[in-house]
Amino acid sequence: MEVQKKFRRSFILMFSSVFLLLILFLLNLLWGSVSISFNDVFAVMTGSYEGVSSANIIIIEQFRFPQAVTATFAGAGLAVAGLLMQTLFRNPLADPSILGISAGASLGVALLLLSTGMVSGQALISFGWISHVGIILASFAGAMLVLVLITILSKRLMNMVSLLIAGIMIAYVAGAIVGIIKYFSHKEDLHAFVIWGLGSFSNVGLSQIPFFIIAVSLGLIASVLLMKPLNLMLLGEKYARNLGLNVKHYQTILLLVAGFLTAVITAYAGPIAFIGLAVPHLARNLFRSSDHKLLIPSTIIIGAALTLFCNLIARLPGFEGSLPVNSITSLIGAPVVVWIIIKRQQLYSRSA
Amino acid sequence: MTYKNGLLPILFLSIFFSFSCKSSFQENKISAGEELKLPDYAIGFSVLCKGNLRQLSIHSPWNNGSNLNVYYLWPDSLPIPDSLRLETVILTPVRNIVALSATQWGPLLKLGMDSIIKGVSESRFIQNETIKNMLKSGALIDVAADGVYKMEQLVKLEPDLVLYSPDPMGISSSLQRSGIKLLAWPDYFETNPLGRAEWIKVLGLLVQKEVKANQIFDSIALSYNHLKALTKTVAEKPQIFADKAFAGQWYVPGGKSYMAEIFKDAGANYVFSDNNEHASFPLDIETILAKSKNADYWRIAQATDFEYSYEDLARENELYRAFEAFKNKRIIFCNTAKTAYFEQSPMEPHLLLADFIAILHPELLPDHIPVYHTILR
Repeated sequence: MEVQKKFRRSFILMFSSVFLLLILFLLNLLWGSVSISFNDVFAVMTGSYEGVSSANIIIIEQFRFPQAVTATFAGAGLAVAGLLMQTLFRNPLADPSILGISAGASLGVALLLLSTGMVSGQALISFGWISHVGIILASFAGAMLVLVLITILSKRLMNMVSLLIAGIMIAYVAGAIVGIIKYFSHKEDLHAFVIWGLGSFSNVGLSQIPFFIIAVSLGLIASVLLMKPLNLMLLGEKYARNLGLNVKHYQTILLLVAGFLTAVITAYAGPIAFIGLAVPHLARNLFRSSDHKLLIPSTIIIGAALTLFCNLIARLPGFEGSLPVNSITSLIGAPVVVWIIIKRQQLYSRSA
Repeated sequence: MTYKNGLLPILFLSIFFSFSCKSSFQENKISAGEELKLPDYAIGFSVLCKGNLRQLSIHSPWNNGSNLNVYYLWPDSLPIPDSLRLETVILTPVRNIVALSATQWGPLLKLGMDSIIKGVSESRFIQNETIKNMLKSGALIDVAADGVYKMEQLVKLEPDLVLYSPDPMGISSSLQRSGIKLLAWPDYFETNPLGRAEWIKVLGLLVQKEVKANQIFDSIALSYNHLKALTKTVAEKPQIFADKAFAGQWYVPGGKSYMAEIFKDAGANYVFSDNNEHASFPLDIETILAKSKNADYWRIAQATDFEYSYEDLARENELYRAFEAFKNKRIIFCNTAKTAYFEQSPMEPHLLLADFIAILHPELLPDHIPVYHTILR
């Protein structure tokens, strides 16, 4: 009876989150700084284009749609990466950036952007679109470099706490190198780097969308396949080992999956804060469960929905331009985490 | 690429991905009847003329020998010849334009083409009354703020052409996706003050006012060169250095920069003239103190709402008191909030030069009324 009730509750919750996700996706297409009617959006999405002005077609096709898709997949990916990290380290404060992977991405971008000004005025990559791909590659390369380093370290370090500390140290070192590069670079180059650091879902063009979707989906599918070992790991390393799990092996796989997701998303959207930290907590509290069979899909959906919501806030019709997404995710994410902590404390004190 | 079946199929199905690269570099092959018109001072653009056809090339400031844009300008009153069908053509005169910087819309105002300007950027900093009024009346809108394009508003304008400032990072990826014709405007890479002003000629081509643009530029060049000649004979060249620390970094103008050119032409000795940088570069304050302590003049440009003083400057950093120019009250100050320095001076290098000459060598220009710079009191 109790189990059935819980199952029904989860089912309804899951169903309504999916519904919310779809609504938010649609709102992202509908809402923008230029007002476009529902009919126009619908026409473009179904490919009829009838009676839609060419400017509106470009706005929907080239800007709103790719942005909404990027936000959806980036949110889902970051949230899951956060969940994997939190389970892996059994630490509620872990998030995708904790192992220095985002810092590695920043370093890659800093090296590319700021070296263009330094190499005697000769840009490494000539300009525009191609150099945008350059940023994606540089960021990905930087993030993967840190990931490889972390993976090698994880084989050597006996426990996860040491690895966590090593990761944070790597982040500091990468940050310090970025600082030095910034110190010696031209003002104009710096500005571009600052803008990149604010994060944006509008960087991914329509032609790059398939790439992005496939890469993130690979990570999402991998994490769905990892549900069982994740549940075992929640019990602690020793228990998991006693239950026959090759802990070391799965730790490495988890690292790689979470790291890959972070690397891809940071490469395309820049560093996006807080989604990875806040959403797993939100999912755990909503579904009142720590079972990954429930947590992984719900984190994916809530992550996507929350990110779409942040993206919506960032470009509400009232504002002419758009606010930096990174600030919005933090502004919304931080209170969520505090709220959860307070709620949990009440729970503990009640039970005590 | 067009997606006739709508966007949903790509979301779920598409695997293939194609880079649609546009080659932006085309070689200039001069054939019979063509005439290459190089600008007199600017290095960032060149024009090839043949009859009614103009081929406009914007050169890359980063890679020698490559172009950011090559466009064919053709009068819209004439039928387009078949040979041009495959090329990137801008029909002139351009009828509505987005001009993202003051050095683009400024010359357009000078050419009397106010009405074709439909979009500007960073409007809260704009001082020009004409543009401000147009913004108020809604005749033009702001399409970029804080370095971020408002793409939706920009696309909605459906401009014939967007003039934009290129940067090596490709922030313009969203601009490129808009399908709007873009013309790079790397005028700020011109280190010759007249070179920067000469870009008015490109606007002259775009709006079919070549003669007027040439006249305006020629008169600027005439007065600039006249002033420059005045300082050839000065007996003593005072030493000068520039700018101040900001957030722990002191950016000084490079030895081959625009500002260094102005200092040289005004008959001054720039402290870092041996340096080879074309833009500003950061230096440690101690290095600057060591080299500039005894310099005669110190040039500072800053935006303040109040009357800036030596005390205000010393409050920012006590070290500033150590400079001779500070002690002798020889700071050449430009309040960029009260004068339209950033907006207008690139098109008025002769006035900028005259300011400096009148301060450094008052005997040469005794009647000059300062435009941008005065000695700080």
